[in-house]
Amino acid sequence: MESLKDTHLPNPEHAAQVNQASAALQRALARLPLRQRQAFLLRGWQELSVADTAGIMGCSEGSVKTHYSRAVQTLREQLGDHWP
Amino acid sequence: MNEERQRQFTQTAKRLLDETAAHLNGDTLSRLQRARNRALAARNKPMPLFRRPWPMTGMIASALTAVALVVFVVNGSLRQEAVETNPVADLGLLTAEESLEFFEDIDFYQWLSTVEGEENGLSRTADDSPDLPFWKPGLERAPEGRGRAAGVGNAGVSRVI
Repeated sequence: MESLKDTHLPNPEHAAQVNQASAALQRALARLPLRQRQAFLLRGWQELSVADTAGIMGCSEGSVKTHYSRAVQTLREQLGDHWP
Repeated sequence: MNEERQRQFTQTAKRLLDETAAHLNGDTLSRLQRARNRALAARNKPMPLFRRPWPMTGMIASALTAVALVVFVVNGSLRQEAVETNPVADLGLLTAEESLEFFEDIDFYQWLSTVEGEENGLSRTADDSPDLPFWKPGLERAPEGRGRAAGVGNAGVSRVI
């Protein structure tokens, strides 16, 4: 986690580590069910509110929370060995 | 999982996604931003209940998700990793009822893949298949017994009769 903070340094080792972690994340995201993937990208990456995410996905805020929580849990489980 | 650990995990994931997106070309970044703005505009636009465009917001959500994913698939730094990804995993996108806009964007993704391939010094031959997660062999092929000898255009129509 700490090693990813200085993301602007042109360090080859850091770049390789980031690439590896990004690739693992991308693979794990691709394996998520569609709704969980949407909830994670909209809430976690785009940082939309629960209400905005619910409006865009066309579901309740409770469903967004459920999808998002399951997505994070699944991603954490799948990325355990690859996550920095 | 406590909230603090979930927050740390999400922050790290966001940083990785941001860093990957930072290496994208301007057109792709612009496209992501437009998809985001469209989604928010559709969300914030008040409409009567009987005219609520739920299918439209669903399509936009799918498009935004699809663009985000394809962005990483097409991105050169992850090209090798993307090839190793099981394409079946993305069937959810293709079978979702709100994925029409995604299909409409296929030409864009093919163009983007070709351009990035050229930038990386790769040349695509007629026999190469697009390295896109939704591409299936046969989509751009002519039926057996036709095609190669006669020459096949993009639409699978013989050029020489």
